[in-house]
Amino acid sequence: MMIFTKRLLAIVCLTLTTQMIFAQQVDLFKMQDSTNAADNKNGHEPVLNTFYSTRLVNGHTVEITGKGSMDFRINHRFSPLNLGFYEMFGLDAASMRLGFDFGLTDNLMVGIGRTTYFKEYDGFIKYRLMHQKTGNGAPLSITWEGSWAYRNLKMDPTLKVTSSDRTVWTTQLLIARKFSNNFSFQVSPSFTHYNRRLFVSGGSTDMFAVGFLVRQKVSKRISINGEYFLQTQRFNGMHDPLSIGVDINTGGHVFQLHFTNSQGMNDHSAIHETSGTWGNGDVRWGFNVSRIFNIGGKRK
Amino acid sequence: MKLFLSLVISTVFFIANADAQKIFATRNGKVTFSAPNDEDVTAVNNEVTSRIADNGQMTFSLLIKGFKFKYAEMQDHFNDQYLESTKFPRGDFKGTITNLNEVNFSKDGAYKATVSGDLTLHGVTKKVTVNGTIEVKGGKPVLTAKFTIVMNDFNVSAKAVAEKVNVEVSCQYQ
Repeated sequence: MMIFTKRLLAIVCLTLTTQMIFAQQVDLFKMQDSTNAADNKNGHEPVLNTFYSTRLVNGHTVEITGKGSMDFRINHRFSPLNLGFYEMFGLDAASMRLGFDFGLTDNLMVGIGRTTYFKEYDGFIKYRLMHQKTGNGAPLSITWEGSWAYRNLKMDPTLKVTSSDRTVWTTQLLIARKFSNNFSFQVSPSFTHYNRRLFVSGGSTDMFAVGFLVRQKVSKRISINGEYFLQTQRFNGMHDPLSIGVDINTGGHVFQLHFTNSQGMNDHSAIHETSGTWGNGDVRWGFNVSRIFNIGGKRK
Repeated sequence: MKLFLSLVISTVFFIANADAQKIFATRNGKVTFSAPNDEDVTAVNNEVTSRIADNGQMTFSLLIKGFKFKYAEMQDHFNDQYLESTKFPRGDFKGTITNLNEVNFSKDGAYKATVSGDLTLHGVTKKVTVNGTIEVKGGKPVLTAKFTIVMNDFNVSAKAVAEKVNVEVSCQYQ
């Protein structure tokens, strides 16, 4: 009898538990809300569009050209504004850089270019080491960039310039954070090595600088940008480059219009070889046009 | 006493069975988003969370960033300019099967189902009714549906891209 009661009790208990599990009518709508809330909290989505483009004015941003895309870039700098009306405030003459960038993987890109200034060829590799994430993921994006430039300008034979002398190396670490949907800030410590100082004096063959890049969006497609490189030492007669510009993003195209005191458009010339100053109106109007072409295969 | 107890037990069992609610769920449902006039504009999201209960409730949830495009730049544009996924990270649907009496989740077969509910996209919630198919195979349902949404309804200015978008849903539940 005792055993029977126990068994019965067990059955009743079991039944009751089963009933408790099944009898609850789960409201799927509420279930969805709670799982979504939990997922949002733990979300680790990469932050997109810290900057609209892979350059802000001359400086590299943390952005990487999308995998399978080719970015055709035309950079243009007119002559200084202070040349006055005869030179149409600098519009009569210009220097430019034509470049092709390629997105190889989600985090790796390479690029080549040709600049008027010193008839330079340049190339670079850029690799994203860390991507800022939403939620409590990575707080920063970090990209490494290394570039090389070759000065092809014909030089006085008595200078005995070798091809190694014509080569300049630059490496930058780009550290950025998108603080809000509209505001992004980047710090880029950079190091440049000149095999030989040509047409500059003073300074050193090893030059350091820190870049500060700021972007403030004013609408969905337009942002106001600032870029400044602080050099630890300068070549004689050279200044720190300061640029202020506007990005207009039309999807596929990015137009960048700016005023800058630097003539060079690749790493070393923009950072260390800026002869103009804002103070005496030695500022140039310039623009970059970026056009993305899709050359890669289908994304799987 | 014995009779009474067994009566209680059987009643409890009976209620339990009547109340038993079956929920089918998946975390890798598929939703395709495509522009009808440009075959390049096609995006697939393979990480859709969805649940169906045999009481007719049905939910879908997906991350806008989960849509993969053929071209990386297009995907960026879609997230940043089009659906503003930073501000509105999710697409969401909560609906009910309106012809539940024609769908039998415990019997294999293909059933035409009409679902109506609230679709939330880009922060805007809109009532939609969708016709689809629920195919029960080995006790597990597979859902497929096709419908068109007008982006303007969801406050998305898409004149330059696609004003109407075809959405295809395909989910295999466990």
